[in-house]
Amino acid sequence: MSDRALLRDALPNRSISMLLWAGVAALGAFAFAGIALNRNEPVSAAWLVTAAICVYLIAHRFYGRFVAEKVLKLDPTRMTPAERHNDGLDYVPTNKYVVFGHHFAAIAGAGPLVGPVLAAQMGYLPGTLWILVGVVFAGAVQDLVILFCSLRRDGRSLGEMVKMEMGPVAGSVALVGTLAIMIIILAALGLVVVKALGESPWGTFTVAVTIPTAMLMGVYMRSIRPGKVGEASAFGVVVLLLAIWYGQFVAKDASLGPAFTYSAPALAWAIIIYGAIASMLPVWLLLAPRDYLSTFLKIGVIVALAIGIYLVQPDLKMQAVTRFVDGSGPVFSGPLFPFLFITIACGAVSGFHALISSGTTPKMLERETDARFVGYGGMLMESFVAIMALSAACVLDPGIYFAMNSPAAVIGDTPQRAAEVISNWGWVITPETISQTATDVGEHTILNRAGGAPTLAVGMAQIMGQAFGGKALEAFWYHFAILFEALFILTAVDAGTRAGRFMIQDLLGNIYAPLGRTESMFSNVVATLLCVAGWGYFVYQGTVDPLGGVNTIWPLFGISNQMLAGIALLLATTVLIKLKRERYAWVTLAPTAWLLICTLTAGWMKAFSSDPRIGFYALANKYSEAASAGTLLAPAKSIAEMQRVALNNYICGTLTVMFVVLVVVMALFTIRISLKALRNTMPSAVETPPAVREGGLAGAAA
Amino acid sequence: MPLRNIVLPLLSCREVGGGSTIEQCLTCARDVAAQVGQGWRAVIGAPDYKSYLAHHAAYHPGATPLSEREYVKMYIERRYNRPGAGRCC
Repeated sequence: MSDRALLRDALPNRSISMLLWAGVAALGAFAFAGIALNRNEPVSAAWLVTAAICVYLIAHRFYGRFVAEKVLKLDPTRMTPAERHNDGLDYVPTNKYVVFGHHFAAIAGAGPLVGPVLAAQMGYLPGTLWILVGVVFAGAVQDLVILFCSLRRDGRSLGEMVKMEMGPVAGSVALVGTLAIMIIILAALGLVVVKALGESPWGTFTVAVTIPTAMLMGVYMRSIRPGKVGEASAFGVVVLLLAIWYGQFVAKDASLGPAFTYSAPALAWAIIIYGAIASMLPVWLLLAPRDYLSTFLKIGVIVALAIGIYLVQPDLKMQAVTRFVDGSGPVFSGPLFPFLFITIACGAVSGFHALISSGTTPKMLERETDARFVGYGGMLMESFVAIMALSAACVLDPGIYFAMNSPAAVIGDTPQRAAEVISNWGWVITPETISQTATDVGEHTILNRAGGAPTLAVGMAQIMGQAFGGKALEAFWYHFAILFEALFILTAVDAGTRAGRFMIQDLLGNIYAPLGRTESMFSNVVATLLCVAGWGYFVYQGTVDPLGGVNTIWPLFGISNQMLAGIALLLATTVLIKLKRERYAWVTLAPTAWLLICTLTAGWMKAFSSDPRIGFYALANKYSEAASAGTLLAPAKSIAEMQRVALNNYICGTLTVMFVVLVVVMALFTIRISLKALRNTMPSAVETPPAVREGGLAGAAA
Repeated sequence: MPLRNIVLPLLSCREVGGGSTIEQCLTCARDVAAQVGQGWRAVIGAPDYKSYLAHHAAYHPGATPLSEREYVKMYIERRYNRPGAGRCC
């Protein structure tokens, strides 16, 4: 122990620590000043990223600590579920850095990559500010508090905790809400992949290769060398890199090229059939190996992107604030408030994380106090990914950005027409530049590829191309980025369909008991098909509806995801009040209020706005009235297409209303229970009774 | 988190051996590598048979542990095939 003691004495903690934090604050202020003062000249993306990192460090050290120590009173002597139930499998006390990595890998998916890219149409500033403010005061707080609640309840899930603290009716409402959100998320993610792969033989080929590759890995890890994930993943990564490289020849090949060229509706069917089959295969064959593969790539790409941004220091070509804050933007319609706050969900605040924070993570912590670093810090890390995605979209020429993200109904489907429309908006671009960008990344066209993935891929390709490999490798990096996103979206589709299946079985079991048996083959097939039909409907309609697509489904996703966050934060508020910590209830109440204001306003506008560009019902009525009058409205090409537009929008409108009702019901439950708890003189939260480990602080883990 | 919490564990090898022979350094490097490898497996959620055996020996002395093949099979099944075993959006 002598060295440790010596070193501890040698570092005069307090003053060094104060100097360090003053330095971080100064650097952050300097970075923000750089962004603020250079409004008329290009700012490097590295400043944006630096400013974000400083905000995260300060937030974690000060606000995160305040929430952990003062509000939640995390207690290092109290035994965690991992210690109480240590079974070597689900409950395992684990080093906090490892839990952090594990938690981050579970929460970070395609969400933080897509939302910020769409939000870039309003400029980089609104998105950046919401991502930073949102994560510090809402997203990270939600993740931490839910993790805390689950830690104190033997690692129970969000649904179970709602049932325990707010009653069985609220529990069922939350379950229905979670299922609806799951379906919408799968639809949105599926559509992102379909939009990215449409008419792209190179991309489709590489993504197709992942399926047999993952299966080979699965067989290897099960039968040949049991449990050797590293070896199998190394094999998988090498095969995928070769597939990306070989894809360019496939695309050019006279017979293979057309064999991998599919229209978006055909790909929609492909992903639906894939989802149904994949989620019924044994997990070891496809899901587990591909999940390992995508975790490897995810961590690798995020690190590489961060390094790339600092090496290249690309300028942000998008303005700080564009004129589309007024709501007239082509990528998603609706004004900055409330639509920015639902478009960027993951990265600022994501309700889905509440499911992870009350899943595996609480069963792994060896100290309650580790929850700050894992819960609060893990969400800051995801926010960092969102900031990088936003940067990657904003370093693109804005003309290219709008060409890729605007629907065909607005900018047409030829480079000439697109260049004309976009130049009229004020971002001058030539048809040649659009075609050249497509050629550079090895695609026929980059037009109308909304959904974030391709935009991010072009941005990443330009950053990575400049950092490693130059222009020649741009096409490789583009398809690498597409593959990387497709890989974890397919994993999400597979895992999400399984999760949705369990929820449907849970619900159906209440109606007809045999349908609730998770070990019954019949029940599994029925529930899986129901789940796939749910999200598959939206994916397919998104490709055939001339006005549909990511721009329709993403707001719905945002509303539902923020609504789940609202539910989680309402639970958190209830728990704080029941613990008699109402003095600090504002910590969760303030973000709850903001989320409810945004979600309810956005939901109301999406459903009932009289502007058909925003309101689902307004658009549905417009098309249904025109259809019955027999007048054809562009871009629909037939009366049948118009009726389809109308039907889809009625469905989306009804779903939106359902989400709004769900949130209001949950809020009413919270108010009722909180008022009752306020009158109570004693804490009434249902926590597992505390147990102090033998040997106190030093105990088990020492 | 204070910086020394990161620096000190890295120096902890010196505490164990105290000496500086090449063998001690190698043993120590191997230990560190094993720890890093174990941490990485836990991060990506890969099965870890050694830890399982250690747990088994500590908590169920006398009982026969699963074979590596059986353990991996059960681990993957548990990790991915249960309600709530999700990935995020």
